[in-house]
Amino acid sequence: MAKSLPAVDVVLVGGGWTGSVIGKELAAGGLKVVVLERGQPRWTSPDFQAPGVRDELKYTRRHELHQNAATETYTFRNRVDETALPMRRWQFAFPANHLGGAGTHWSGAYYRWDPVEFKLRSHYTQRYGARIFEDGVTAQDWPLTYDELEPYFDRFDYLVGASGFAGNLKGVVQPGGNPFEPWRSRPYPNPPMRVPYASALFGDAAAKLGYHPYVQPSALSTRPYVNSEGLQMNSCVYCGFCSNFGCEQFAKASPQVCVLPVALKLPTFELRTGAHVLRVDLDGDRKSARGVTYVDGSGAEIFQPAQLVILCAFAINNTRLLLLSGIGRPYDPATGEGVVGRNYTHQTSSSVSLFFDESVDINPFMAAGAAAVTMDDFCTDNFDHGPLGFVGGGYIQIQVVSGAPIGNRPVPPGTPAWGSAWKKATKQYYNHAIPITITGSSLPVRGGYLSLDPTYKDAWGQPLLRITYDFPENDIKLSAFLTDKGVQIGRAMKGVTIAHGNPRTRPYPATAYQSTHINGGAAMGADPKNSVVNRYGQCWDVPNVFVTGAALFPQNSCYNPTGTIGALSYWTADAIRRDYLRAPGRLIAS
Amino acid sequence: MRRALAIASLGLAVVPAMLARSSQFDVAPPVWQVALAASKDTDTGKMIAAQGKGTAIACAGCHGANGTPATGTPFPRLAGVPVEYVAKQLFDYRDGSRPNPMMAPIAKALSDAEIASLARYYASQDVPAKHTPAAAAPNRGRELARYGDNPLAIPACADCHGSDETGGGPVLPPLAQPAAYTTAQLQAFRTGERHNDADGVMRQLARRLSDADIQVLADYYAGR
Repeated sequence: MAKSLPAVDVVLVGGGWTGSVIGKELAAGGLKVVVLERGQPRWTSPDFQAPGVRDELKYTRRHELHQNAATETYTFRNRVDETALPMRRWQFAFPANHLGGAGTHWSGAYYRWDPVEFKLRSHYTQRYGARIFEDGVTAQDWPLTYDELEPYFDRFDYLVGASGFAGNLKGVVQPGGNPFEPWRSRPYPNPPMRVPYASALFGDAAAKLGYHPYVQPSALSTRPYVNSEGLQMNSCVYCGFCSNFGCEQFAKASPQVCVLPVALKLPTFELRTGAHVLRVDLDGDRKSARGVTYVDGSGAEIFQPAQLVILCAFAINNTRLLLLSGIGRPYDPATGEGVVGRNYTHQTSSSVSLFFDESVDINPFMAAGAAAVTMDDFCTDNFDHGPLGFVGGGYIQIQVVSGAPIGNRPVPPGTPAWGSAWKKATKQYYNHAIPITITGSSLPVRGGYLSLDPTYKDAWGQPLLRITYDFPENDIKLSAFLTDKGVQIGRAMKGVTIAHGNPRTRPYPATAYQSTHINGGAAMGADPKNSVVNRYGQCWDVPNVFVTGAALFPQNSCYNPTGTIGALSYWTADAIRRDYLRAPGRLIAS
Repeated sequence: MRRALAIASLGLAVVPAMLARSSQFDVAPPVWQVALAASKDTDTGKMIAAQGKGTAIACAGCHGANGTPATGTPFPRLAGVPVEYVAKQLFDYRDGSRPNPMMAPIAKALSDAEIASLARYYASQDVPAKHTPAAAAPNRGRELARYGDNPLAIPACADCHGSDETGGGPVLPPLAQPAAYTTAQLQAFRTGERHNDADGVMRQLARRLSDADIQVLADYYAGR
């Protein structure tokens, strides 16, 4: 029998970006808020200080800040006629398990999504005809537009201290910026990042070929900055320990640096770490949530009653909580009916391995998670898809992230995987190689979905989340097209001796890292028949439960998710304060 | 132009200047790097260090023979300090991004090649035999140096300057220097009078340190 605690107004499941931002907004509005974070509290000082934090073995190889796969993982299969097996260690993506979530161990690449992404189905249909969409692709329009979200993107920009150079201010294209950038109401709060050498070589070659390379926007502060919460961020020092690490410098935006110190001073805000939520508890009629049940650090089961429940866990873990709690009808790929678990997507990423002659020193350790020169010429609908026959696009870039010595061992294709020939090649190429990375959009398909596994359970006895997914033909074509463009740019770069493209092929591998951008399962939509939540993230079936984050994406764009997730958090918080609280427990009218 | 480059050159050897826009990638290397690349000479530097040159008085007068100043003086040790750091500082004294009434006229009397040679000379000198520092008792200075301060958003000094007091790399100097020197530098960063740090990294931190914090940090490093 779970111990029951005094009721609160709002319980948020997860202490990452969405839980911290929404929790702070609602607590500042006077609501009694509790954030339940399953991980441990970790702060920049002392937890992320050198030399301890610069430990590739601990943080990257042994997944110190990632979900513990020994207690909770996903099972995976490509098709419904296969039996899914559990992932025993993280390879395809790195879900988080600590205060701040993936917002602490991310790289800081920071984008707004293109306006086309929000009306994907109707835009492509209008321009190219409905047949541009492959059969079985379940892509759909968002129930909101870029213009509606713009003020919230702006707000998140100034929270995270975004760096970049505006390419489009209020509709006026700005020389020196990215000409494809969606309009923005204000400039970036901070100037663009410094450019690593390999990225500069990429930019020069891309410009010569007639493309429009620019410095990638980031959430790594490039100068001393006081953010919109009055909190201090420091200048990035390009130490190269961003992805999979906590930032030692208070430079990379994270909930710990940008929001939580202010939230924790509010008398109405409470953070409980080590609180692993098992489920949302519903009333007898299953139309209203009573609160959540969690296991605390001592192993005791606790019931936390609340008027409002907001799911802020890692992307697809929100979908799992919906399934475990019986909220919304689970999706059935055989009939195409049901909604929870539908529209799972990842990121169609690929690369071009570049090797240089010995006159070009790459110095890959002079790095930052988001230090890149990139180009949007092949993003969204910035190019003619008519003759190509696929939907979507991707950005092409060189991002110098890390020269960490265990993972960064580039050797040319054909090199033996061990022995003296490998040793010779790894010595020769450590400082003369870098990949071009390509980040492509991802379309959902009828057979790709999330469900509860019938066999495997987590350490608390609950079914694991099962992923069933393979690339649609659309994304294979997209990857071949983009990777070929990358090879052409690579061949035009100074000093390159080998440019080897690695496009995605079927089957989708669960053993290759393809970004931590795993999305869907609780798609946002205008119609309860093809979505789990309305345009504010509110569950159609249980209106006092909201869902946040990448679970809401009906499909994935080619751009990294955090900017859009942050904007949606402010959007949801505003809707709750402005509309929901006037008639709690009812669906907000759209 | 020179000033812009000097401000932009930072803690890592070949990272180019901060961009004013996002579609320009080729940035010239900082002047001190160009000067160092031009010659390997140390003899000129050795001579200037001992005898001075024109209006530039001998470095040894304050910084000691071979770059090790006398105990009890407020002057920093130069022996064994990275060549890149010494070269960059002399350029910065010369262009005013590190204002100093004693060093500015000296640096202004030196050519690019002489600065490079002096930097090479001092970098090649042996670091004086280190007394083994007594294990510092836990105190605020040690805490700031090794762990930083979370509410003040100050990272550990050791993150960049190294945890063994030998410095953190080419332009990240060792901090084991006389307390009066460290105090003066942190105060100058705090007021912005000294502004030759990359992207304002040191100024932002110094502004958040109290006088007492600066004193305990200086004492901690003086004892290393």
